Amino acid sequence: MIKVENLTKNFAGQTAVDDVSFEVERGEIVGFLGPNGAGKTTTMRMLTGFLQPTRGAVEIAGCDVFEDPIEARRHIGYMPESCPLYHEMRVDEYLTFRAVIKGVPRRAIRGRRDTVKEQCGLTETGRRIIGQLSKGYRQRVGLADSLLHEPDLLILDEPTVGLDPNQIREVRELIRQLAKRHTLLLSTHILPEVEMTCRRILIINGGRIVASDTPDSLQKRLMGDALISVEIPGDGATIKAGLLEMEAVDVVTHEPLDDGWHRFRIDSSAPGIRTQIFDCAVSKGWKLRELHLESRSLEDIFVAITRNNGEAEVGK
Amino acid sequence: MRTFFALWRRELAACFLSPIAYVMLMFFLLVTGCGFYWLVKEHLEVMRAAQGLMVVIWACMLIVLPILTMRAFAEERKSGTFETLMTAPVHDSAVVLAKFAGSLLFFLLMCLPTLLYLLAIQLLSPETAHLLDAGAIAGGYLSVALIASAFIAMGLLASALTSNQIIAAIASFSVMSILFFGGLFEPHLSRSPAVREIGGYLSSALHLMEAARGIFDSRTLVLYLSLTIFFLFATVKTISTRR
Repeated sequence: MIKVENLTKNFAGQTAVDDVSFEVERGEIVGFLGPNGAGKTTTMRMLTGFLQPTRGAVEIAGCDVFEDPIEARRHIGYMPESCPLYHEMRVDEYLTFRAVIKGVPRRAIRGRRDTVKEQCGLTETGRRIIGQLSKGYRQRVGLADSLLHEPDLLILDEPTVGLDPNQIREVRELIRQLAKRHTLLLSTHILPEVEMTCRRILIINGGRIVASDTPDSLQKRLMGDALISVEIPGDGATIKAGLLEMEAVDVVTHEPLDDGWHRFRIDSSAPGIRTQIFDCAVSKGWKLRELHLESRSLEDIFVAITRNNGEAEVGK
Repeated sequence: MRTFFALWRRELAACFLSPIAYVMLMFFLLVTGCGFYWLVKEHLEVMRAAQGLMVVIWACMLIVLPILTMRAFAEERKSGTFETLMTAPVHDSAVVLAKFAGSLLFFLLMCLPTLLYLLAIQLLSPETAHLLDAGAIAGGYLSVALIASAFIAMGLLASALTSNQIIAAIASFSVMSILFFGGLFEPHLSRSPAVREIGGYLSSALHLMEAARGIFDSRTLVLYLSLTIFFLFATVKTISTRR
């Protein structure tokens, strides 16, 4: 669906996007992550043909975006960051206008408009002036607009930014429904959102793709070592030393709790490490009130990958 | 074609929905109205007054057109709608032409009430009305339309070059002023025959006066049409490269 080859964009001597290549298959839902200024928006703008790249090529549904921009854009539904709209227009008016310029056949316009309004929960707001709508509703209008011409590919740049938690939940639900019919590329800072909706993540940092994989396998690859949390009462230093005696254990961090107990975090990739810890505790006569495997969130992955300025390139 | 008309309609609607348009409309009618009143009062020759009216309209263009065109691209850039617009499957040239046609039509609609001034003469002073030459007046308005299209194309280019509306307005005002003052005074002030001649060719005031006298000069037609086409072309190139 999307094929990006050696895409590079320089702005006044600065490289915003540096030799990026990736592919997205039809039907995939891809989360596009990266810190602010990493080049997400620039990349998305080049995918939609809004920005000309310095080098490289983008193919959308078999059309070269820069050779045949009009045809390529017919396949794309794009919602830019901050969702710009004509504030003086009414919702229906705006959607009709957008449908016409997107080449929706005259007879189909009303039907498409009503369908996307229903999809995005706008059925009651057709007569309202866009400028008077709340941010959440404007976001929906933008989303409805991107769906009007039934594009194969949806590119959403931060679709939930500035929304309240309820609205985020609604938009996320909507995105999940859209994912059934469209290929989706969405950028966001809200990582749980990506965890919940995306089957693949692309992480960009400093203008380069530093990771491209499913969240699970990224986690395995990056966080190979499991993190185990144990709570034991007694003398912290002794217990720590005792834990370190185990062969599979390299690093233990220790944190005293208020009630005389201590929490230890153990990094280890050995299989069955939890039973070993339990056996160790039994043999030393320690009490245990907690022993669990801490699962690492996408946030940990994100931080681990992007903190080193993209030096740790994984899964390219 | 359907796309073009949709864009054009939106452009016109945006004109009529902005308060600036009504302020401009009022300013324009006030200045042309006062100007015409004064002309009629001073010159008893009606046809001279009609010619004078064209020149007053032309002078108003200098203020009205930069303000009318400044928002065309600058506003869309600033608010970000430029991105939604240009990522829709529309040709750059359709967008530019729609904005051009929208501004031109709005300006022509603005000029429409000035016909009432001539009608007023007809009604209030039937004995001089026969001196009004319909053909010459039509020629005058045609020239106004031609000059306006060149100036609007110029304004669009200025607007496409910046996201700041004030800069766009001042830039197009400055370029229009060169034609305005260069054309108006240079032929009379300079001693050099070359300057006089070139100034004479470029002077839109002289073109208007001639047209309003009933003399149709194909050179002015070519001049304004080619200026319009050149600036529209430059605008299309600008918006496809500067984003």
